[in-house]
Amino acid sequence: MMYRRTGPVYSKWYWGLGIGALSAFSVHAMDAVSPLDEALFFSDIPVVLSATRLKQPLNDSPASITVIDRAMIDASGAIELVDLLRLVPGFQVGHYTGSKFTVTSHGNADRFARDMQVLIDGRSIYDPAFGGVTWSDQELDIDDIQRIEVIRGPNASTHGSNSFSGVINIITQHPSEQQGLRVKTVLGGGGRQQIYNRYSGVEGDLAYRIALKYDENDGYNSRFDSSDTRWLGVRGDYQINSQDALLFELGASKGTREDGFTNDLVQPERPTEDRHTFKQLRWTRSLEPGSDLSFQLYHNYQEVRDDFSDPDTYSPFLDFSLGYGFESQRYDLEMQHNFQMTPSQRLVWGIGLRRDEAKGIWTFKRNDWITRDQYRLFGNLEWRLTDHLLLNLGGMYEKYEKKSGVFSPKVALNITADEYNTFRLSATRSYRMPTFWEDFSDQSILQTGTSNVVIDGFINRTNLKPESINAYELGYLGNFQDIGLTLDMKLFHEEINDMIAEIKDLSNPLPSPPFNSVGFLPFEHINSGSLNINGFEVGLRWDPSPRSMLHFGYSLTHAYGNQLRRTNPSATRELNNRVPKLTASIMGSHQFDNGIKVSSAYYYMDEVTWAGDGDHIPINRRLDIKLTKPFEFEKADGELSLILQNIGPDNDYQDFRNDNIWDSRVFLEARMNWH
Amino acid sequence: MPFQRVADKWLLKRPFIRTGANFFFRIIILFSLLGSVESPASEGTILVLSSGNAPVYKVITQKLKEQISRSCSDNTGSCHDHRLYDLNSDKSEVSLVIPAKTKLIITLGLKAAKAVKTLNTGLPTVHALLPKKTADQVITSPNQTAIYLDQPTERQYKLARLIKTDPHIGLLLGKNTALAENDFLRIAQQLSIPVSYRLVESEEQVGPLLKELLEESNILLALPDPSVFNQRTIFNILLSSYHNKVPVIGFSSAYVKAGALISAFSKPEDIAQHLAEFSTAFLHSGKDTLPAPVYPKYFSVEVNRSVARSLGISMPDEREIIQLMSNDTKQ
Repeated sequence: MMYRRTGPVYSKWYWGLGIGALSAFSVHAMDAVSPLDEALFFSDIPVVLSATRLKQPLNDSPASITVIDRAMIDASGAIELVDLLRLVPGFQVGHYTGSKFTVTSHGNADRFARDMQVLIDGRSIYDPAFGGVTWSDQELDIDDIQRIEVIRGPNASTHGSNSFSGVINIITQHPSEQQGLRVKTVLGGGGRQQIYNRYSGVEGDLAYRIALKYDENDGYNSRFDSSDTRWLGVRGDYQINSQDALLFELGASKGTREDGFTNDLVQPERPTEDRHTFKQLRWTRSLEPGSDLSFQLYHNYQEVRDDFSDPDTYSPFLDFSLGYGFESQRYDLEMQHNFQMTPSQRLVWGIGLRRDEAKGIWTFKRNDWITRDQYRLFGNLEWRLTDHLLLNLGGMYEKYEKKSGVFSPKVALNITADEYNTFRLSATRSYRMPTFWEDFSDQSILQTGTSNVVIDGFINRTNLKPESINAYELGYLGNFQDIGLTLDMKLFHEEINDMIAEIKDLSNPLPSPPFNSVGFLPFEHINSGSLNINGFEVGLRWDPSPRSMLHFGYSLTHAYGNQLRRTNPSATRELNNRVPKLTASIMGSHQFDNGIKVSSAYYYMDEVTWAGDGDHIPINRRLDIKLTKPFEFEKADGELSLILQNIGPDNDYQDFRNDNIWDSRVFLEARMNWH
Repeated sequence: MPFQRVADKWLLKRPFIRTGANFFFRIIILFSLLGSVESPASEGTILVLSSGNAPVYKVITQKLKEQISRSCSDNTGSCHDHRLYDLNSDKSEVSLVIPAKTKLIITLGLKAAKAVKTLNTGLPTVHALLPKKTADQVITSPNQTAIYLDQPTERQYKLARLIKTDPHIGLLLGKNTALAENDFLRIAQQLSIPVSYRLVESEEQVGPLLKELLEESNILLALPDPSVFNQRTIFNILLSSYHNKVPVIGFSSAYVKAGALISAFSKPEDIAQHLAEFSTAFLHSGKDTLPAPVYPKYFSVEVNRSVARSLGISMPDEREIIQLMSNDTKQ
């Protein structure tokens, strides 16, 4: 640093928040008409593009990555965030109800897709109790997303535990990029009513966003699944000095979600109540271009209240109660160091500590927290061997309480043929730890008001091993910047072993009459079975002009495997249909000279068997169209969109379950921004 | 750092001339011919006045000293004595002596420039470390000239041609740069580089205007104009540009650290070199008239390799860039 001014002379009130390390710029800005002096050229300014903020170029990446950027988000017409993920090659999205979603890669999922790491600004939102993500409870609107980077395939060495079949890395916009007031409303089919407000501003060294949202919809016409959600989200970015930055985020949401089925004794139609909160703090120090050090602490809390009594069905003999509610929370502390060791070697490494907790009288028969601690050590070395060869060597060692430690390695060699073409060979292994539900489930139908067990629903007796996946890839990346085209292809083989299977052990004693039949024996979880998936994926993005965009995603798979579904005597279930053979998406958009934007997307998914509460469902086809007219005023701008969802032929498809029948939906979306 | 605080207040918060004069007169005990006591037998003293004791001034005075001594050892004929003064409130009781045989005054920075101007010495003065706009305001008589601190627009534009084969430069002009609008356009035309620009009247406009600009251009040129480029706007400017895959050309080393792809700027060493050459040439010539103000002859280039890699831009090494830029001039 050549020139520094310390201690501003005339401070504004908000400078009191700071530690006083304001650069000369603040002083200048107060009085921009005074003559410019030399300080402007020699003073420090904050490191904006720190190493962690910079994207790794796709051709250096050790994995296939699909980036969903703002252009794709805007073109998609997605109302639900999860629908954006249909654009990712090999990804499937299921709507279990109008507010409960499951997102998986290469199928093999139930309504709690447990095979995916999902991060928002570096915070894992994976629910440790049941697995998967409570998407509707997340305090995040599509409008605040900067981009979503989806890593297709295991990648634990850089994205942590549970990066099993993929990683969804959601990065929100920096508040300074969205300054002003935004109001968005969405009205439309399926009883959709949404209002979203945010204010983003900059005060001195603090940039902040405060967002509020209310969202309701009636879900499927054929289901009891209306829902409403309200949330508050805050993000602040505070620049301590030119090197050190603090990020803090917090949010709280609550909502009612209807669930259940007519004439279903164990899942009757009923409302459930969700509550969710989170807080996150990250300190980043930029060391030099390409290097930084960060510490992060976060806490997520999830509650689902879901229990009910049925005094009528077996009246007057039995009034029974049952529940699925739970609470879960996660504390996580992580240190990460990102640095350039030599001109040809970059290293990212770090350590993390985590405590997961769950409790639920209905699901675990416990009113105190079950805790599970984890610690981890991870690293990835990016080593440019020659101009044409890049080696990525990475791994994560993680140790969960009461489980054996596991190591997830990754090796990838990127061969750059020329400036346009890169080939990639990679091999990796990753693990998925059992959820609290898988390890500790203890759920019974009770006589109302008592602890008398009528029937056991789930009892787990085994200390489960983690599921493991080995993945081998041959990838190609064509990066034709001159014509705005990126082509990503891969051939892959994945082997999932030690799968966690839901079984019935017929050697257990039968319940007492009148429930003394095999059908009333409890379920339990064991490690059983394997699934092999071979496939080919293509992702294409072409921007023929700044106003036009074409996206194409394609995945063809062949899966085979089986696992036990009962023991003593044993019987297996085939898993071949758990993965849809063909999944594809195509999306195009164009903006005309008069400003009107037209975009359309088509999604295709072959027949598939969803596990758990899901069914074997036939082909899903969905066609969406979006028309947008932007407008501008003196101090404001906005846009009006007409979104037509699922308007193609054969649009009465079944989604996730046979009784979830889609129809077409029309939405009107209006956005206004005041600068 | 009491001095720096005073300096801030002094420079930016008060009507300059009167305060400046008061301050300066307070520290002057003697402005006379007595100085020869301290500089015996000086043929032509060069007086260097710094605006403070920040490293930038020290580096320049030190390098300048070295350069001139070197020219003394090279040229046995005429060697010029030089003296160096720092304007520093901590030493307010110290007398400022302008030696009798002072032939040239060099000021480093705005405070020194204004102080000398107030004194009205009548001696040939060269102002260094001043941005062009400020220097042009300070210089009111033909016995003053300047070596500007900012880089000529051509130089910045040429960087753009090294980044992209089809550069389209985006400019955000503010209070301090709006008047130069025609220069920016004229030079772009000479170099046949397309330019889009927006006039920013208030800071709230930076966001929306930047958004428009990033759609039209593929390189953003950051300008030393704090009404547009400041602490509050820098995040939006660097992040939005990056997210639109538009590299930013900065004007200082700090910009490169912050996330600009590249900056061309004159380091203290570059300025010292230029000042040394200027001084020896002027004193050798024996002329009384000073040449017109010029942009810095020497400059350095810094590239943020991480940003370049992330944007998929391959840049030659810094030395080669400077070479390529001078070749560009010859064409």
